[in-house]
Amino acid sequence: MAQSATVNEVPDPPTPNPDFTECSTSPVVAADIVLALSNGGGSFPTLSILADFTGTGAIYLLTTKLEPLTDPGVDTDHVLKITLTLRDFGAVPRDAVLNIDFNAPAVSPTFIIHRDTTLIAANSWSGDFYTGPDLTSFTIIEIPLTEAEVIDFRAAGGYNDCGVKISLFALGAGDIVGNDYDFIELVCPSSGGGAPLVITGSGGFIFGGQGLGLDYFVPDGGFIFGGEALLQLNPFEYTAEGGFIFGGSAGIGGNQITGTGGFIFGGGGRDFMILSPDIGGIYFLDFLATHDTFYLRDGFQGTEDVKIPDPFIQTAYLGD
Amino acid sequence: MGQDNIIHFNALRGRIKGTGILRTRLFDLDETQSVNFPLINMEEITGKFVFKLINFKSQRACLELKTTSIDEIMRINKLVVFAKPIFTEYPG
Repeated sequence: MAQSATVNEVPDPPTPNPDFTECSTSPVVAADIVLALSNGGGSFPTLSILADFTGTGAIYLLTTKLEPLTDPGVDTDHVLKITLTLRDFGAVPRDAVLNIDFNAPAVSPTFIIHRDTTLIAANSWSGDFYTGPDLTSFTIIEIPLTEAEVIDFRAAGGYNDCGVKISLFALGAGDIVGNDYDFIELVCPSSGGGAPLVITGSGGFIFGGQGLGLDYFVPDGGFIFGGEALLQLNPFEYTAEGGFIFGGSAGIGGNQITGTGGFIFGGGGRDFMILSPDIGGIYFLDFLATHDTFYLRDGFQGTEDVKIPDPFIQTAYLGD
Repeated sequence: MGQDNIIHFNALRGRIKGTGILRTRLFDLDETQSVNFPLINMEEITGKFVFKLINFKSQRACLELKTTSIDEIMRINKLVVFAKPIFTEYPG
């Protein structure tokens, strides 16, 4: 019974609300429900519900819809936050299980929260047990969504139509439990342009992947740009040790490696200038050669053909 | 002969083959003046001598032939510079 109810007083039934569905599937539930909904000015509905009931297997359901969200276009950093408490009206704290079903029309990841830290190997569930402190006071429970769940969530139109269903199970006969909710919120990243990329320390990036036949490794860091699409680079400067590998079939025309310098891609053309390759020349006598050949050194292999510097013939002075 | 006359150099004829462009010029003592022949587009098979006209007057002249691009080659078997003395000396 609700704590505020007197012996002979029968509370008025809750006002129906289209955003909520209350039901009881257990015949022993005789809870008086005080349901209130308010908007705290945030981007999520704020609600408070009291539900007291007894009996093994007693179930109370709360379903609420969340406000539409803007799809951020990323599949990470989605967290379902619920602030709640489980109240116990008996002398000894009793176990109860909260089953939170976060659902879009076609996706229903389920999370089970236990009053104590005992894991419950019952019910069908695919989420995580809550293993934090007991819920005798308001506690924020954060349930991260996996990327696969976010993908399903998006495909099911969850950003426009999403609900949270909370089931409360009493585990023992005679248990009297209740639960209060403060807010339910789905947190997702902001949409729009991202923050500038700042790189510190050693390491590297790999753009591309095995699917495109790329499998490079740069020991001291660097960048690997790979892919079939034309590489579009905004002006940037790179001065540290390391290097770049630009791979792919379009735009660059093969892999180029530098030891201690970098590349400058300027203008609208596709020519580029190698700033500081460690190359040197040694003349190999070749009767048919029409140019000089430089050989890359310092661990690199390959040659670069260059012109003979303006070969010329001069006669002696002609005169009488 | 041997009087250092002022000579008019007026033409070049030669057996010139190769690939690319041959750049040819005349310059005088200390290279105080020079003049370029017209560019010669070299070919491996020509079937004729190359003949280029020029107008250059000096007591001495040096003929220079060169290429400036990669993989340009020149093969020269014969060169004739046409010249004629026209003055005995510069005005005193």
